[in-house]
Amino acid sequence: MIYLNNAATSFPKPASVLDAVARAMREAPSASARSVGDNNGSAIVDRCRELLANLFSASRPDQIILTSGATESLNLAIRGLSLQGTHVITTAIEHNSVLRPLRRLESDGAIALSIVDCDGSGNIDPDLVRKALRTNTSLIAVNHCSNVTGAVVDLEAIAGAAREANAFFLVDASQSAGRVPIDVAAVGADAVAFAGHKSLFGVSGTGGLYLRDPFALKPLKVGGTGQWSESSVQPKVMPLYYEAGTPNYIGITALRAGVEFVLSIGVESIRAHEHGIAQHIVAALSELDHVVIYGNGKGSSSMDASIIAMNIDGYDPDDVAFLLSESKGIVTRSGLHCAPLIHRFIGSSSNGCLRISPSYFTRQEESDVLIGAVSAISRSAGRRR
Amino acid sequence: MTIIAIDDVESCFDGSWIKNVHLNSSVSPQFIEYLTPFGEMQYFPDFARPFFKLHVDGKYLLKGIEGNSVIRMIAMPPIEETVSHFLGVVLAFKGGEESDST
Repeated sequence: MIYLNNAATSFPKPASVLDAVARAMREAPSASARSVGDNNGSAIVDRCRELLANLFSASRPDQIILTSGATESLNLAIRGLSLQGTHVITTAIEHNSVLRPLRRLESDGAIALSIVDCDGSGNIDPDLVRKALRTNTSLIAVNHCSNVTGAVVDLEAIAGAAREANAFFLVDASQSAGRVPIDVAAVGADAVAFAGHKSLFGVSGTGGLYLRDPFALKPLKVGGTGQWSESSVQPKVMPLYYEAGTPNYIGITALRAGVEFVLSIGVESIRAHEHGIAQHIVAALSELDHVVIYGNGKGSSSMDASIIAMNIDGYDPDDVAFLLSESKGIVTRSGLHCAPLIHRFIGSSSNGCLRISPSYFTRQEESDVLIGAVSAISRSAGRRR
Repeated sequence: MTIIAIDDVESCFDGSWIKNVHLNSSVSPQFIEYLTPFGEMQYFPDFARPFFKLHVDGKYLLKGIEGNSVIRMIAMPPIEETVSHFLGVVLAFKGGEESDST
C-alpha cells in the first residue's frame, strides 16, 4: 500500500509512537490525579502539554487544553464564547467543524455570520476580512491551512483585523500543526485548535486547544476532575476547567510521543521533506494532459502545506481514487473533504476533487508509482475524447 | 459465480454502505457484458485493465476492474435486500471461472 491520505490521518506513525502506546497498554491503567502511589498518568499528560506548549511557543503548558480532537476544540471555542446578538466572520476555506457550529448559531438566530470568499487557490485576502468587520464583530474564525489545496493563511494580518474589532481570534490549525511553524504569541491568536492524528502523529480521538486567556470560554462539559471533588461546581483551575472526565491516556501517550517526534525532527525539516515530495508530484502531473491541479503555485509555493488537489477531465474524482486504490494500492481521498465552500472558488467539480497528501514518511519511489498511475488514467481520458 | 465474502468499508450519512464484494472468480469481459442490462453501465476500455461502473437505480452502484475478484458496491438501504439482489445476479451468471486468489 502507498498511503497518500495524510491530510485525513497520518500513516505510518513513528516507531516511537507505536512503542509508547504498546508500553502504555501493557502497564496498569494510569490515573492522573486519581489514585495514590501512581503519578504516571499525570506525568504523561503534563509532559504532553509541555511539548505542545513548546511546539506552539505558548507561554504556559496549562494554556493547552486536551480534547478528543479539533472538532471538539472548535466547538469548545465557538460554543464557549458569549456570541449572542453579535457578528462572526469566517472564511470559505473552512472545514465543517467550523462551518456547522457557526451555521447552527446563525440558524438559531444567535449570530449574524459573514463568510469571506477565497481566491482560486484557496487564499484568504486579509483585507476582505477587514472589510467584513462590523461594530459588533465578536469572533473571527479562520483555517490556518486549507485541507483541500494546502493554502496557508496569513494569520498575523488577520489577527490585526481581529484586534481592531476587539474580536476573539480563533485559528483552526488541524492541517498545519506539525507541518507549518506556529507561534501563537507572534500570530496573536486567542485560541488555536489542533488535531492529534494528522501531522502530530498521534491517534484519532486526540487533539487540543491553545487558549491564551484562561476561563475565556464556558466549558462544553463538566464533571469529574479527580481533584477538588468536594466542589459542586467545575473547579476554576486550568486546564481542568475544560477537561472533565477520565483523560484518554492511551491517546495522550501517542500524542506525546508524536509531538516528541515532530520536535526531534523539526517542523521545518518535516515541511521541507513533504514539500520536496509534493513538488516532485506536481511537476510531473502538471505535464499531463487532462490533469487539472488546483491551488497555490500548484502546491509548489513555499508558503503552502504539501497538499495536492486535482482532477482528471471526464472522471469523477471518486472513480480516480478507486482506480488508484484497486490498480496500484494507492490510498488517496476524493470528494469535498468536509470543506464544501472552497470548491466553487477553486473550480473543482460538483463531486469535489482528488486529494493527494504525502507525509514525512512518504518516499519519492512511492510518489513515482502515483505519477505513473495518474499518467495511465490521464492517457485513458485522452482516448475517450 | 458466487460471492465468497463481503467487507464493510464505510457507512454513509444517507444510510448507504460502501462494501467490498469478494467473488469466487475474477471479473471478465463476459461478466461485465452480463451486468449491463441490469442498470446504467459505464465501461472504460482504454485502461490496461478496463474499469466499469454499473448504476442500478435505487439499489447500488458497482465499481470494478477487469481481472480483479473484488467489486466495490455502494449499497442503498435496505442493505440486506440490496445485497441479496446482487447475490441473485451473481449466482445467475454461469460464465465465471474459479479465481486463483481468494
